Amino acid sequence: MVRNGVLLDVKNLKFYYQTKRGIVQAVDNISFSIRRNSSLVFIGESGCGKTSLSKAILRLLPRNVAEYSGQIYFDGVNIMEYDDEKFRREIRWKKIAFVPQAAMNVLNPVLKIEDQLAEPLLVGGLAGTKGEALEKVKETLRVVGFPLQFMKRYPFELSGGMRQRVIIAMALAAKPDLVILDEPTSALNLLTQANIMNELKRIKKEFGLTSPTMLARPARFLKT
Amino acid sequence: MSSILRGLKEVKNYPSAMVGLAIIAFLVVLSIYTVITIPYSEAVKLWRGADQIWIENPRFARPVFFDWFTPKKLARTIIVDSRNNPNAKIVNQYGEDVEIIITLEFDFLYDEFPTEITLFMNKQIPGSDMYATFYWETPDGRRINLRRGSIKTRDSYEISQDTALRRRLGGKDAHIGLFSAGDDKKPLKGKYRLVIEAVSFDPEDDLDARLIVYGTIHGIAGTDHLRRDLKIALFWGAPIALIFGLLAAVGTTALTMLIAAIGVWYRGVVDGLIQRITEVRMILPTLVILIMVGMFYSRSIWVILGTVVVLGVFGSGIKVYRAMFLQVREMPYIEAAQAYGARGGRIVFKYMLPRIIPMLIPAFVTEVPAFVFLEATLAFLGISDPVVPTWGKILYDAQSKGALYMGHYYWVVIPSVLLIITGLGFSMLGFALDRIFNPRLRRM
Repeated sequence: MVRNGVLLDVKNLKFYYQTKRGIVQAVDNISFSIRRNSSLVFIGESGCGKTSLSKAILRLLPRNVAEYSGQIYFDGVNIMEYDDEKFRREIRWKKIAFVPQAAMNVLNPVLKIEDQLAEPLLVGGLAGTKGEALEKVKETLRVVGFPLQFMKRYPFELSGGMRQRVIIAMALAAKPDLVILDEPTSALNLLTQANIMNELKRIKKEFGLTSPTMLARPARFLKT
Repeated sequence: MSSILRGLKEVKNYPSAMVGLAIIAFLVVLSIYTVITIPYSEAVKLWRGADQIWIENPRFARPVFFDWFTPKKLARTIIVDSRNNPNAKIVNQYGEDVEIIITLEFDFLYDEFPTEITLFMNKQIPGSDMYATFYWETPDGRRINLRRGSIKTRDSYEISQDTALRRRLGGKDAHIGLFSAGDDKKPLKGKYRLVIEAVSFDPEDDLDARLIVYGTIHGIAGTDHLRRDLKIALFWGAPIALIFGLLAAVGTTALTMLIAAIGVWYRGVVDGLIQRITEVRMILPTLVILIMVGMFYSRSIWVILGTVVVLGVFGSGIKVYRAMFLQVREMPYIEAAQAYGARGGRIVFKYMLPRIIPMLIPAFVTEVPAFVFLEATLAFLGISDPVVPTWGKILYDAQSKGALYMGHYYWVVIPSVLLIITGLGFSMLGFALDRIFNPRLRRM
């Protein structure tokens, strides 16, 4: 059932947590769809299940899952039917990339920026050698406006905004069809937030074909 | 990795770490020197002491440096051999008979009596009859009749053990009676002579003799009850202690960390199994298990090392590392790695382990002496490789021969000091590394 231009079609997705005091219905029967080259924004107060939704789409499940069901059609294929290994190999990062919440801490503190960026490419088999991966890394870093002379630095030597750019570059490096941004600017000040947001808009346009579709959670919007 | 190198460069700002490093460097140099100059097989052979290798050494001799700290001149071992001195032997032919007179002359200038006197003899023709009379000539011109009797082909005359002679000397041991001039406080200094007048009825016969007057000091480390030079075991103790300590410390800490990380990452059954094994193992006494392995299975140093590592891995360390990894596991960068499809093995080795390794380095350096001491403890309890000379083994011998009771304290003190120095060196370095790698202890 391929609908024209629909990239992601989520139907009756349920994602419940088991706790000592009963079941938490974090994602309860949610259905939505996103077309190619478009964005969809989820806004909600904290604890309403935005992060759970993004994790449910990427199947990053915690230990205490009570229920996980529904259909997720990606490009017309129900990826809920994939087994874990197939899902890991074919969907994660190659089709759907993810910028997690509190993205500042997402970088491995013992890897240099270039090694960190090469990791997803090497893990996913998108680059045969490290040199090849580094070439792709440079390309994406240029896109996000990250100065290339900082590539040999460690994450703790970078500012928050820079780290954010690195993470966005990491999500883009594998040229995915869909990018889930889980509160991508939460830990940054307003000015940098605006900067990154503009940057994201520009990237979305530039990438054209493989334009990332966004699922953002700008918490600040609620407060102001 | 480069953060580790940076940390190691910082070591030079800590004087205690430099002292520790100097001690470790000294031990390493000593080990290399030992392994080159006394090859392992040689050391094993020497320490076994077969074929009377050590016959020229005194028993229970103190190290030579004792001589530097006392106004008295301590007795060294004197060896006089008729083969090295052509003037010592006079051969007279009387038809079918031959008379051989050997005069072994030496200067005795020490302020102490020797500990033993033994004469070794070598006769040329086996089966022939040879009779000899032995005389002792003192510097003040006395001539003491020692013994009269026949000489076998390879014969030795333990003068100190000669009970008939002791009776004639008024109940004094020969090494005291033959050297004293009345009072037994001080030996008489000067030229002594041992004369052998031998007669053989075979004209072709010949005799050589070697007199050993055993002193009270020998070598840089002294000797033990089997006349073995303690230097061998003291020197070889260094490489063995270092290898045992390092392998055990590296093996234990690295494996503990790896197993803890695997448990934390795969959780569930894997973690449960690791934790239960650890808990069972923690209530079992290590030393007793090691003693049982030594008693009933094998005393090879490698078996003991392996047992130590296996027992050490499933120890309290696993709980400590597990606590650290549980924190690391929940960090966003691990989740991110999962999101881009990194598998368990990659996450454990590339994301979790490197995070904890800086904390591991000081831990492993400070753990080295614990294992060195453990090896010594086992040797002291009699559980050690039967052929390898180690520090613990010296202590075991010293203990079993009552070294401290007999006043041979050098026998206990030197290996103990080496053990303490080793522990000190690694501890000083380890504590400084702890301060460098553990951010909470760092001073600006």
